[in-house]
Amino acid sequence: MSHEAVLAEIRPKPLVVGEVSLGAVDDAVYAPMESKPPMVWWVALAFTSALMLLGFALIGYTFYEGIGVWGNNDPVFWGWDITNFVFWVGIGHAGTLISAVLFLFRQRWRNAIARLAEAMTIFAVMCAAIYPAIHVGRPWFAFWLFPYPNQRGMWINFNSPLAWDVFAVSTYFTVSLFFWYVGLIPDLASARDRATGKVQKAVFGALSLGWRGAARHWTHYEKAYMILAGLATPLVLSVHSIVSFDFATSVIPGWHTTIFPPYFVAGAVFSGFAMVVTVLVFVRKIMRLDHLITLDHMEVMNKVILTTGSIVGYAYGMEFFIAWYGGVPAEHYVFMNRATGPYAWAYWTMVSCNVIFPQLFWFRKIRRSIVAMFIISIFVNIGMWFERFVIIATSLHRDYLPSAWGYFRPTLVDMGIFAGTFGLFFTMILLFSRTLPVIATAELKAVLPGAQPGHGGHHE
Amino acid sequence: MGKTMLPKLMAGLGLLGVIGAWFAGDSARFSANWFVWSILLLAVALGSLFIVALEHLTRAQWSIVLRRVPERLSGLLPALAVVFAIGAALGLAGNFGWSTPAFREALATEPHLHGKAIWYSSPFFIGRLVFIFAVWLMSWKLLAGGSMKQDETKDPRFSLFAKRFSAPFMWLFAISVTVLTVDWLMGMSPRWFSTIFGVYGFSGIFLSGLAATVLGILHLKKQGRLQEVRPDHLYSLGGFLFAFTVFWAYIAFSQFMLIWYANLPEETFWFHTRLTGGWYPVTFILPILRFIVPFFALLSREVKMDARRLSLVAVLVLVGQALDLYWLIVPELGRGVLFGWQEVAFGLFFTGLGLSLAEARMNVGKDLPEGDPNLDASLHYHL
Amino acid sequence: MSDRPFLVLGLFQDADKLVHGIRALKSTYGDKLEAYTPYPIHGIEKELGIPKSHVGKIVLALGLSGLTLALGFQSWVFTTDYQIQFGGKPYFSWASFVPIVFEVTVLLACIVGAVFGMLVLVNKLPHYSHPILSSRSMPKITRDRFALAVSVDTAEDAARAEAALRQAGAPETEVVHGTDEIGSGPLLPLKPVLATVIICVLAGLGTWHLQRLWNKLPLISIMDEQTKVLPFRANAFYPDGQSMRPLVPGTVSRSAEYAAWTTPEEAGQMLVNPLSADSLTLAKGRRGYETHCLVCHGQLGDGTKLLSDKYTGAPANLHQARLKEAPDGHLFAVVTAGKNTMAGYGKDIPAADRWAIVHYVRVLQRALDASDADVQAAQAVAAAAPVAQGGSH
Repeated sequence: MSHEAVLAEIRPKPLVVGEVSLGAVDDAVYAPMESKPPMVWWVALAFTSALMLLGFALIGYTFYEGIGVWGNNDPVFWGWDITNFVFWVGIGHAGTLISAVLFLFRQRWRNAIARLAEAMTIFAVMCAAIYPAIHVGRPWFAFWLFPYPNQRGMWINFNSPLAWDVFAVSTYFTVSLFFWYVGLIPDLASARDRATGKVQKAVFGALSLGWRGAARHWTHYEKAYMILAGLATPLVLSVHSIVSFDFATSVIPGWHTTIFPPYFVAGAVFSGFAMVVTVLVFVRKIMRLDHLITLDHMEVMNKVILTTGSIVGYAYGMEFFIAWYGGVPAEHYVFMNRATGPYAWAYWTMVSCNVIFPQLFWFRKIRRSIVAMFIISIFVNIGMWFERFVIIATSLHRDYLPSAWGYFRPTLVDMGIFAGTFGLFFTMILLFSRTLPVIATAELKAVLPGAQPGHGGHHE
Repeated sequence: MGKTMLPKLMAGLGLLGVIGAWFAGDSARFSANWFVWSILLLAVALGSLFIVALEHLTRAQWSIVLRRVPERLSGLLPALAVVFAIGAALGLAGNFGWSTPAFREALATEPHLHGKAIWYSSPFFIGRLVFIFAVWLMSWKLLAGGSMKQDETKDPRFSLFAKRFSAPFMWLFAISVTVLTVDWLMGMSPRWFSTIFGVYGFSGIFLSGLAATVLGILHLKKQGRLQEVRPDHLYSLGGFLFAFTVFWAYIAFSQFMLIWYANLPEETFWFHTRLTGGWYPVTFILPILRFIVPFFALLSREVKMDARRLSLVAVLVLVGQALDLYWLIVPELGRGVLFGWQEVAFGLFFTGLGLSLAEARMNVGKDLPEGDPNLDASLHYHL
Repeated sequence: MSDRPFLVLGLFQDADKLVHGIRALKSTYGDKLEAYTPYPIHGIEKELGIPKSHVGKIVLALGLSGLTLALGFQSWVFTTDYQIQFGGKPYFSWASFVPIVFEVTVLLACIVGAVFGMLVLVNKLPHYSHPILSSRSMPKITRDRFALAVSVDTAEDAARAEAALRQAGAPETEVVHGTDEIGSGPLLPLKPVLATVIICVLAGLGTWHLQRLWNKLPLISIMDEQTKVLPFRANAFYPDGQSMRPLVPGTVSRSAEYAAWTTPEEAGQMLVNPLSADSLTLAKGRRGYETHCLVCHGQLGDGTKLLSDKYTGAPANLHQARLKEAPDGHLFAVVTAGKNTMAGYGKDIPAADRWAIVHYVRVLQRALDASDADVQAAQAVAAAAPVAQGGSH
């Protein structure tokens, strides 16, 4: 390796490919909003919205018939409903992680992908929120989940992890939405000033709140954005930790284990990044943004996938180790049953997708291959879905009482609703990609070469 | 002059006390104290090594300017290997939870302890202890030693190597820290178990490394060296200290809350020991010292940017880590809160020893990693 | 909108030139300078002399109030308003309050503190009437130009500022007319807001009426009709057409008493009153007597019934010598099984209560025989222990 090649390897990578002027960023990002969508977009939208409608129809059917149409049984009271809830909430973690945690760590490469990742967070949490609402059986009473004074003279049980979940997910959704919106305001002002149609001008004008880019405004804006990032970081940790408390506060073997909170968070980031990679592979190509969302960005994300996948692998190992070390027979049995029992197929799918396949990212060639990263990200998505399924199904289907053992099989309704949430998710992404800027232009412009005064020299 | 003598004086005075404690004959108390303090110094060294590896792995540029401080601090590792070896030679491990005669007998008779009988069999135990120290010493040699060599050679290939080595190092580090915490902290109460314990140990280790780095920087700055480290760098370092203070609280709370909530007897007895009698106030003080005070202190931007005030917080973090280790190990002796001249002597000796060693390390190599090709970017780092 | 000159904008090509421009004009214009940029320029706030943002303090205050609110509310609910035992844990279980405390703290700090505080309180947004928004330069500013603005009052001011800006290197300038007083234009676009409000109200009313219909829709059963057996209903499934099943022959109730006696005399021989005649037992006995026995046997147990004379039966006088001498078991058996026209109360009154009634009957029997000395003694006891008497009432 030559001296220059070594230096190129250890020096920071450029944030955009080639020379990109400030205006060119706008032109590239706002182009989709100012042109008619291509045929492929309409086809994709037709497909995803059909899927979404199928899901809604099946949810209606569930309301009509009751949740008996799902595969949930005794002893597996939590089936695909909670599996999918945890899966989607997990996907929703990458957005805030990218926008908040990487912001605090001053990882400038995040600026190009933060907007899309945040949008994905919001859409994923929407998909997730469907499940708690419909799995209660009588969804028209879902408002009983909230503490409000009522004539029944009752309060909700604040000691219950399920009540914590209500607070955590709704807080997370609200904060993510506003975090996203605050980031959008300067870009909405750009959209307002670029818009030619009367309706667009009015809508973007109203939404941008009259933003005018004053230095005094920017000072407070940056401070508030920094604070939001600082608060969103523990928030994102707390949400999946609280989801993990749903399981870990119980005494079910395989659920009650202290590593669950950080392990769930790592798993959530892992699955979220995989989904971001899955989506970005298409978005950057189809929307011609590959000079702004560069291959280097994708490579860094693949490294994050490798890291978090390894943390998840550590947690799997630690659980097995303590099940063996701790010597509690029920715990011991559950873990042996996971690996060798009736759900061994699901367990080994999970291990291979989550721990083994991501190890391919140790190879630079694979990290930088679009095809390979797409396939592996799909594998990770599958694996992380199976992780939640394995946790829920294997722990419940055989617990302390052998006379009450059972087996869970999903029904077509289960599968249809799950497919419907994918329909909802991708429909929202498709609509978002044509109506709002998918890259935070103000943020990206701010880190372009020469964007800041005194660039390259000491300047105080 | 007087100031530089102080650590040696402390160590000398403490050593007298430690020798006294040895002849006082309370060997269980002696070994508990020995390991509280030697693991504290180990945490400083390992945390520093982790900071170095993390910087290489993420190619973080801002911290290059201060990297020499954790590199030097991780040089405590060989001395700590000796401290552990002396502990072994004195037969101190014989007082640990897993080596008490009562537990040894239980291992042979109680079938559900089957796993622990294997885990705590002597060859396996000694083998992995040697292994983890070998991993640390090798990584220290490669990362810190290589970096010092790079000062002379200016060869950028080392930076590339360090970046590549740091990735598998993270795996080795995770495994070795887990072994350390399971064997030497959780193992004090060998019937107890908690899957998060390795992460708990890691959070303390990383915090110790960060705090010691802050103190090292202040030490050098006081001597007029390392003036290149500006408030911008300190702010980022303080940010890490803040973040991992919160992280520690998060992990500690998760562990406590889940065990408290599920209320399973095979887990709760460990906390019950610490929530009754004289240990209750200690358990009460621990989160105040380790979380609440540093949290509110570090909220302020001014504190994070000011070397003096930041180092006060760093001292607090290290005191918190010492108390944490004391709280993890000593209650398992089953003798209530032990605090007397022996604890003071051990504190004096190991603090003095640690400070003297660290001070000596601070003169190894150059103050800046001059060979690092990205040093320039770090010097010009702005918030 | 007035035609008064309000701002003069100089558009610079990049951030460096903007900073130079600020430095050139700072001494002349001071606080009248403002920069408009497409993205935040670092260090510019120092050049312009903008004080540090106090958004952090707003956020801290909101966060602390969220913390207090959530901790206080949960504590109040579970220690005062709505105590429920839960998993054997104390009412004040701080550890399980922590998650909600954290979430509410973050929610208030973020949404009210950082977002609302920054946008509305500090930056005074939304502000749709600022003159710069309708200027020629605005689209350039949000794209790639860096504007330095000088506040001016008169046309002469504007001309001077324009010259100064050009001299400082701005290739392009614009004079913006208008005024920035809040209230000079609508704060919000009135018509769309009004339309939104009307739509919301209509949607709310519609939903209210729909949800009243909801329960009546045949789709939604809300569990009123279920395929399960309800008591006292016809049921075609069973041959006898009844929903309730007859008991299996030989079924014994879990609370059934085993009676070895057949006659009251026998019971008098066999049974002993298991209760001691303390004040609680007597109170219970009195209650039982007054509920079940009094209508026939009378307030004093002398057989003066409260029933109308149309009822011709003659309830027994409990003070007759035969009953005074009869053992407790005898009276118990009569209460349980009945005698002559008196029905048995074994099914209606639990055994312990029947024994208590027997005690009370003894009290009545004794009371009617009381001498003056007894009355004085009773008064003395009552005076010494008024509480005990009150308790037995």
